[in-house]
Amino acid sequence: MSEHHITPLRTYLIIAASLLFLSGVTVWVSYIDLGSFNIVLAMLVATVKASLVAFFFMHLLWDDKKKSYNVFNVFNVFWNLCYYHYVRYSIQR
Amino acid sequence: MGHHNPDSPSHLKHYFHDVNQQYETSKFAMWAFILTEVLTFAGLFVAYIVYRSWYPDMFVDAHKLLDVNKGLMNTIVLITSSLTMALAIWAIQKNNKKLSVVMLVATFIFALVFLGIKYLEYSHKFEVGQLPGEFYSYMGPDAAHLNNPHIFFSIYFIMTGLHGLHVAIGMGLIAWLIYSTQKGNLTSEYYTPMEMIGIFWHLVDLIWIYLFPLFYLIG
Repeated sequence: MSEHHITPLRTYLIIAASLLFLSGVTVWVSYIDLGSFNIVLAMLVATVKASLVAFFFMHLLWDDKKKSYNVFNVFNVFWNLCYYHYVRYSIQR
Repeated sequence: MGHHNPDSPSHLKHYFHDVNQQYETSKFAMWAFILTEVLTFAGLFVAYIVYRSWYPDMFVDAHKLLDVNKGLMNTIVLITSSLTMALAIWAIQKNNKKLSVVMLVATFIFALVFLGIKYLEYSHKFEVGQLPGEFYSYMGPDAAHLNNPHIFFSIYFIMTGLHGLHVAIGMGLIAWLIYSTQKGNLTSEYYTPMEMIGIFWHLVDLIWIYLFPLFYLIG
């Protein structure tokens, strides 16, 4: 296991600080009325945060590229599922 | 085990060719599990999207019954616990057993704080009757005009409840890591269990990153 990647301490601290900062940002913008754009912005910030967690804390950035590709595909299935059901049930109503 | 190399490390199971194959197998299985977890929560996110599209105004008004400060506090607590988990792995990679144990204990305590804050939120909701389905009984002035608010609380309790269960399970796993590290079973040579449980713990953080804005910050 000697070929393991050891992430520098500084990287972890910067990522954690960014996550805390973005949490503050998302609360702050939720108090500004942007109409339907509020939810878009909230999900955008959440996705940036989730990507930071996945790539740095979960080490996806340093993992086999093939796996990153598979993870990306499952997230695609996830969003397509959401979108499909959203459209389906919206029409049904 | 007759053909087993006597020089191979004690953590190598006899059915693996070498430590690298064992490690890759663990990692593959863990990620397969993580992806099924994502798909489990996907179903619940779909339920959220569908019901929110049916009752857009009720969702916006019902979310005001949640405490944003407690939600934000839990977000900060969980992000910090993700950092301490990552640092526990970093420390064991550097063979610093003492620091690793300290970081694991910190992660455990943050998880406990998270569930403590969640308990305060839940107990308040049980008191006033902001509950799922037929158990809903809240009739406060800020809810009088709401159209089926029990649906919002059904989804709120199912999603945060399943997430809370993951936090509780994570605490059990972290407690076991503290024991194993303290005992010297995990070292810079072999810390796969800590790495895998770390991935699980970061997933718990990742799910909360979506739950927080979807329930506490909408409208």
